[in-house]
Amino acid sequence: MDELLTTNDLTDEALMRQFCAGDSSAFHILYARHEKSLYRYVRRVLGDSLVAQVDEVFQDSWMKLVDERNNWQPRDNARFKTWLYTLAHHRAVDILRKSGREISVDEGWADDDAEGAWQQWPAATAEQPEQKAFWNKAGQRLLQCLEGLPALQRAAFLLHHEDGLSLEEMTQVLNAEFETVKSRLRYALIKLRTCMGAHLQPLAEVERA
Amino acid sequence: MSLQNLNLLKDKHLQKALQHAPDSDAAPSKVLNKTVLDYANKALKVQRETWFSRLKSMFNDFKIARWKLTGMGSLAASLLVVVMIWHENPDDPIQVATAPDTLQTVAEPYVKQRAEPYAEQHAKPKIAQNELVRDELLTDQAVQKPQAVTKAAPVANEPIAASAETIAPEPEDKNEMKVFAKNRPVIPEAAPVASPMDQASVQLKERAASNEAVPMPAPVVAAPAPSVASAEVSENSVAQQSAPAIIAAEQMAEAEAKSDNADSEISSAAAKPTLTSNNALVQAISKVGGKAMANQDIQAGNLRILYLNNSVPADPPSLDNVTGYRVEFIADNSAKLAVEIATYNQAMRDWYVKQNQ
Repeated sequence: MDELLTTNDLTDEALMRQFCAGDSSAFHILYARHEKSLYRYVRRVLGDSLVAQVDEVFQDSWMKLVDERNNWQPRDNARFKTWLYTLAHHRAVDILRKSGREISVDEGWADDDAEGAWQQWPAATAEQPEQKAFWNKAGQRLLQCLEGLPALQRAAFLLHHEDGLSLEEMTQVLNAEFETVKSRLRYALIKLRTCMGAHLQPLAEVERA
Repeated sequence: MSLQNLNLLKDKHLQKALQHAPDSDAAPSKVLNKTVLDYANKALKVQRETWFSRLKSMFNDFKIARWKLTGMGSLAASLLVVVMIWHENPDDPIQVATAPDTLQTVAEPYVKQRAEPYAEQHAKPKIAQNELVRDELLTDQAVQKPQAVTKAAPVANEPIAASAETIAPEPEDKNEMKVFAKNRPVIPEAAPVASPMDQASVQLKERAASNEAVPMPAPVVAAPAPSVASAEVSENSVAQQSAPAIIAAEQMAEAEAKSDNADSEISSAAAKPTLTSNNALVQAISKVGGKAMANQDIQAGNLRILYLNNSVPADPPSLDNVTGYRVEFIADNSAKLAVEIATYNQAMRDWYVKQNQ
């Protein structure tokens, strides 16, 4: 017998349709699914200097989603998550512009040796318990390196690596062309690898961080 | 783009490091969560209430409107009934006013009819026989009589103004004046009012004695009819109380011709009413209207009642039987002027009533 689908089994798009129809529990589920990831994205895009406005951007993003729920018309199987991050990104960019921080520098360094990076680092696939501290420190170092990136490159990196958006979805969120999105992402990776010491022995770089 | 290139755009080491970043457990606060969720719940509540509240409000408005409509309907029905009763026969032709085809003016019967309520209000005593005769004459055809043109200064081309009033000539028939004085209706006694015209009236006496025609100074409206009435009443009461009542009355009547008065012309009111060659008056009334003209005359102290007639009757009234104001005849018989004259007289009578309240 087929199991009956519960509300929790519904996709984001189905829940959103239910919410538009007046089901408040559908929204509660949607919110629970995406609240933390969205909060982290907003926090990292704004950076440490604008951490005080993270809650405001987060709240405004969800409220705008509620207000615009009847205008949500997904096209070409567009995901709900893409729309949600689009609202949040636009709000965050507004805050960044008001703060005067650098938003976009669509230029980067020359291509590094991407294939040669991370050779001396532990493998990223398997994690040994004794390596947890190492990766914790690597993560701390990475946040510092992200602070040095322009906001749009930082956003491109986060959307692709943290939130799993495809390049096509990123074009919608970042409101940029496909090649622009690729360029931004490539530049972000080069800078981060350099910053993280991807070509160096990891333990020494991590300790210095 | 090749798959390999696309894979190069995702760095697993960086991704793993990101998963172990210190803020990987960052989450919104409970307060923030509640704020967002409450906002969404409220939005849905408003959405639900919108159509429901609209339906409910429509129902409520309908209920409220019912009693209002009931009241309005009753009012409309009442008005309809009133209108239907008002126009009992809507087919009757509209009566058009026509110009009188006789010398008798339209104003006279109108004046007579309007005068009657005033007479009832003030409970005038029975009018003497000769006055009854006089009233009858007003309704009859006018009796041609040699016109007694006023000897006052010509005012035909002068604007009717307070200061332009002239002194009426000496009464030609003093006996007739005495009769009128004796049979004058008793007016309720009013407290005598000191009038600034007293000094002017003294001057009039002196000047009248010297037969000097002097234009009256601009009279101040301070002694309206009551003062005249009080003078008349006091004179009449004295005449009644004193032994030689008739003689005293005659004397007082003579004095009245020269005594103080708010209207200098009233002091000589015993003179026969004359047919005024008063084109200026006619023009003024036609221009400003009867009521406005009456207001001007009242302010000037020129209290009079106008009669339209081309000739003075055989026994014309010198004073209006209601107000006691001087009667003046106007040689004109146009219907339009008759309306204005009626308005003028009504204003004069209203003033009289106001002063006697």
